[in-house]
Amino acid sequence: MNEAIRSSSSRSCPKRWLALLLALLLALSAGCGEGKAEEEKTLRLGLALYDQQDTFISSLGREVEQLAQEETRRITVRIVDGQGNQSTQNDQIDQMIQSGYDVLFVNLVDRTVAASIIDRAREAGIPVVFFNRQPVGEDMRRWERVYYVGLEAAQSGRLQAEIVKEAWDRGEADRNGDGKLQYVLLEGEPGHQDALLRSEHSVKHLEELGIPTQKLSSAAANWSRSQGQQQMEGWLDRFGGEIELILANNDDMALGALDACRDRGLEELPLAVGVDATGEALAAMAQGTLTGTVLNDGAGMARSMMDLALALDRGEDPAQTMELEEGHYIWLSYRKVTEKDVEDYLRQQEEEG
Amino acid sequence: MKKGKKGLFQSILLVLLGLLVLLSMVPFQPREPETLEISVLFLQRDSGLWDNIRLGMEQAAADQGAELRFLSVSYDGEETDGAQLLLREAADGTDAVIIAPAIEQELEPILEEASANCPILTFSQGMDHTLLDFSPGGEEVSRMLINMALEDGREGTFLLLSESGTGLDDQRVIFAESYLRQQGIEPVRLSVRQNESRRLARTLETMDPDCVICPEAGLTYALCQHWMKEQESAPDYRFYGMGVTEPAARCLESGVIRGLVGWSDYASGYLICESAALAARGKEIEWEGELPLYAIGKEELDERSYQKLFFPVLP
Repeated sequence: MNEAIRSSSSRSCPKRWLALLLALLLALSAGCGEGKAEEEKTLRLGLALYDQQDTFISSLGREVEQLAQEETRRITVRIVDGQGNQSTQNDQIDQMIQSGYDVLFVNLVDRTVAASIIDRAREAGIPVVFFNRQPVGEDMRRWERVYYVGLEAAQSGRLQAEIVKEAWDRGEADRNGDGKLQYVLLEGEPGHQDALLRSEHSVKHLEELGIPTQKLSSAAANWSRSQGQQQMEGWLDRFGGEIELILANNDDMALGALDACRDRGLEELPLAVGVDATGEALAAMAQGTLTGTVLNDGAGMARSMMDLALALDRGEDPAQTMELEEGHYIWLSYRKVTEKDVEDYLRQQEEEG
Repeated sequence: MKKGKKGLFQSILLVLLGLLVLLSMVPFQPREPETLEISVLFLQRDSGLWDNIRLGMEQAAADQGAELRFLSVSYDGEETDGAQLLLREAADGTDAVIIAPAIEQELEPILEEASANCPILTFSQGMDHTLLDFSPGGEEVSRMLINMALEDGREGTFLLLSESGTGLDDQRVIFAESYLRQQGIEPVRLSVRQNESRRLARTLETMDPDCVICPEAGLTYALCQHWMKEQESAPDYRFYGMGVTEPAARCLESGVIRGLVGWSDYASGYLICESAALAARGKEIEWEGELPLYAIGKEELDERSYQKLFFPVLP
């Protein structure tokens, strides 16, 4: 009996080990197959814009798409338009989270709602890169995989003041000769951080540069050319030729104000300075209507956003491998555009098609 | 006892390994099943022209479980890099490719090679190795444009404007020439290269026609953008163009141009993307026939049905 038992045990023991070996091999090959599929996976980026009617934001979206195309890594970019409605944007972001996008780029409609977006993305394990419209610091610290790419709005305001100073020094600004610069101010939108900082620092820096100013009026025109035009029409009724300078938080509004001046048939247009250096703004500068603008480095922002996405895709911690401030922020710089260099920027734009 | 323990250990290990195999088959981050990738090649210069087409495509992609990869094709003055992009996309395993009208003719020589890997779809008629077309015939576009122009007057010089390098426009212009002659009018032809469109407005002023007929959406868009940007008043000649874009709508509204012929870009984008998704899945393409064409003057802009052509209502 013991012989029989011993004999049957010795026959089944190698079989069991063989079965174990086969199972191990199967498990390993299944794991390898999964890894191979991951390598070929397309990197899927979701880009939520606050409003595609915003010229600068729309061009930024196209820049990101173009960069995705140039990468050897296969990348799809899904661009969605919040149309200025946070509820719409929330639905769009939720849909991208459910679809399992790899990285979300978010240009907030309402910068105070970042927390809920971050929490939902965090739950899904999807990093979020905010851009252009900065969430509050407290929200940025909710999760280590939240980032922001932008430019310091205060700097753009200061550069606007420098453009005006150059015109002042040439004797082109103080048209009524009273030693003061009468200006109107077109602001982005109420409560928008960039709008507040640009408005504050443009005027403050004018004073610092020794130009006495007199504010005739200011109003929010929501970054919109048509609203800028409407606002200016009212001011022309009120102040007429008194207006020596149009300060606008962006190019679209500055151009709208100039549209109003042109429609009114003004013989001499006031100075006008915007921000963004859009194609239309550069064209207006070349024609001599817009005095100057400040380049909002959309190309640089798009590059930084893509670099972040690629670093995350490679499994890196951008806080370790990239130059981030406080582990979350990438800050880029604005640049002044004046009549001296507008042709260079126009040529560059033409080359880029 | 020892052998019993060993057997138990082996059995437990077997079960654990079996569970491991099962677990490895479950994806860590679930994706929608069968999400297709559809590549769309369009001319970089035409990105604004494509706003409504993209809206339609994106809606169709969402409805069909597809994702779109928009690839802008750049132009160096002689040729585009479209061929390189198309072959790369086809080889990289995209599920279908949609090609913009402006680059169809240039890519035709390599369509056979590319279509071996995936379905290729174009907007225009008569392309070999592509699956469908539903754009209205070139003749009908030209006929409608010329009829609009003739209703406003038959006197003076009629200039036919086209963009060199796109076969479709040649078809339309050839028919337009013939149709005008049938009406007793001998037209002048002007064919411009893609990179000359910015100077086109000045060229047209120099040529001093009475009427300009442009059966090409890209050129119409470029001119209307120029007129909007420069805030110019209406040119001395009457202009009739093609396409339902925002700059064209604004020029029509302000009287800078007299008339437009177009179809729903949103519908065309939706249909072609839907068809691409069906083709990628090996299914029958359902759409037959042509999209309706519309002749649009300033009076029509007030009508909601026409406004939707320019500004489609989003779901």
